[in-house]
Amino acid sequence: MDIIYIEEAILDHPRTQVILERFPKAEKLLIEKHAEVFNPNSQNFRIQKNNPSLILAAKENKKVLSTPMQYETGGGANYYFSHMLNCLYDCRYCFLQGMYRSANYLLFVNYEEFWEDIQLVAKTHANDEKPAWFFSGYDCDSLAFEPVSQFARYIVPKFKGIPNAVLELRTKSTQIRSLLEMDVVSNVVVAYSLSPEPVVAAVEEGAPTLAKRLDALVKLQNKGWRLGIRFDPIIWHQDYQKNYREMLAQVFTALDVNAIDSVTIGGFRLPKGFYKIMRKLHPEHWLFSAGLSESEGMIAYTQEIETQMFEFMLDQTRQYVAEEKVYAYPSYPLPTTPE
Amino acid sequence: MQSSSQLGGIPHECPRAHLNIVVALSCEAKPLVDRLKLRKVNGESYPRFVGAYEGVPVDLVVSGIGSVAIAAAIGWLAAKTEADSTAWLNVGVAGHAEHEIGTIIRVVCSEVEGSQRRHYPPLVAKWRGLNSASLSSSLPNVDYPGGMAVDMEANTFFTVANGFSASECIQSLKVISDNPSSSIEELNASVISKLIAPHVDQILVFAANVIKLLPNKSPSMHLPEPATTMRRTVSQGLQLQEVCRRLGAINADKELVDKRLVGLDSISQVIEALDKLARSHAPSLITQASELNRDV
Repeated sequence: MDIIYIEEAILDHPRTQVILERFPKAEKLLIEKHAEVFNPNSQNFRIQKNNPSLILAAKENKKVLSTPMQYETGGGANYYFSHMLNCLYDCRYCFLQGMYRSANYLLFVNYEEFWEDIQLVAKTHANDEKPAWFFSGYDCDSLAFEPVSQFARYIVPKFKGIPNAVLELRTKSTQIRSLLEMDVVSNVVVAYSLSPEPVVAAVEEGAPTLAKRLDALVKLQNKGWRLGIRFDPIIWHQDYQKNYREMLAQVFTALDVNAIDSVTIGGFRLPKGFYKIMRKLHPEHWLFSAGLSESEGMIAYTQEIETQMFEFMLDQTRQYVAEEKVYAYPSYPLPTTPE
Repeated sequence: MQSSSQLGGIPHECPRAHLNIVVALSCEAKPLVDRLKLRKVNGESYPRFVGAYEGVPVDLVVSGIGSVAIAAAIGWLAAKTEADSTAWLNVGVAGHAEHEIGTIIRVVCSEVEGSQRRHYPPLVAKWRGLNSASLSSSLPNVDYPGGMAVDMEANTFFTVANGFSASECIQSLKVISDNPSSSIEELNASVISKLIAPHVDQILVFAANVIKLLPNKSPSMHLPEPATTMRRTVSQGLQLQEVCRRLGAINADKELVDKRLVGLDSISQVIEALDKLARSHAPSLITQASELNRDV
């Protein structure tokens, strides 16, 4: 890390100091508000990915928000929170490229205030039939920055105190030391996004290989953590059936399928505005040119392609996993199977 | 908009990258002009020197002192620059409360005197030197606020150049020419050139690092044979260009493309057929250069 920007107001925060000690050679620059560095329009996400800076800041205003549609895995109310914006990885399909101008890592160090807000929201669902679900990893990878942020080490044990809530840590990371060193918390799910190895190599730059993610999953399962498996997004390409079939066999052979909490399948879809920005950033990339169409302001695979892929994935996944644990999030309604 | 041109909407090829250097004074330009062996262009509105560095065309312009002068010079130079992407570098002298005379700094935050407006140039390019904030004022400033350089152009340089390039590729370097223990009155053209000269290597290494960041231009495209002679509007030309880009990106087979176009006799039919092909052709994960990625 060459440059760290620090909001003046949190310079003396103990967490800021611990993080700064990890980067003795970084140039530290004081700023008034993170928006001055993070928000300006003329920044180029792709260029910044070459050498992102770290911004340490305090998150103000609302810290817990309702999830967008199709972001649920069997819970009741669904919320997300982002203690960090942007990711260490550079997945070509990631919507963050379209959402933010800056690729700098923006870490909010006021974890205590996130926790206060989570508790307040959870309280409003105390009498709900199903637990309220809190997703981490919407605007960042939940664990990739863990050696620096120590966020999971802070937040995960807290959930023991709110049994009517579930925390889902969504990740591709192998940074699981925090989780392996602490006691298992029964209302915390570690959810891994998985893709076939050739897809990882083609579009998930910097992310651990499928084999490494599987290794982390096995360790977490052996420790007793609840696991979620996310095939999201599934990527259309010439050998997709072969590649996804092989991946499913790999995943469900390595893991105890009965102990998996849920499996979700999601398509490649983006708001049109994000898509246009991402295509402009990577005009040469096949991902933004293959099999896509627009429907109601969203860009996704054409109905024919997506339906074919979902039917294939559902059929294959159900060969390993009980149907009630499998959730599909297609952009178009799937045809119903005749009785 | 209609065009009778058969190549309506297909832009001509541009140089991929460009470096524009903007300085306020001729004496600030001299060490760079000498090192890069830049050639003066006569008869221009501003003193302008051209040449190349690291295979990239370079323009150096002497803007004159102050924010209005540099704003006008940047606009003028931007209009002359034919490139897909341009790096902008401002080089000059500045005062500083703490740094010794002759020190070079990269501007990491630029403020304008009397305003809360600050600009933080994204610091992506590697720089092996000191960093400092800078305060731009409309008159020479000998108050030397703590921790900041004082200059007269940097803030406007960033503000205006941001209209023409990604902000990561717009950077400013200042050599400290005065501080509280020296007088601004002692500065002259010869002294300023001598202050900058020892840093030319470092400036050029940084310029190369900024140039490396410039985005690549879109892949150039093969225009399918039957389409080259068909009349089209500007709008159809752009649609054709976009669909060719998509086919190039997914590495569509050239023979397959040509086969789809057999018997088509209007540009709208060609665009429709190519669009259909682009939607239905599953890409290979092999990221080799496309057969279609040949220039128009």
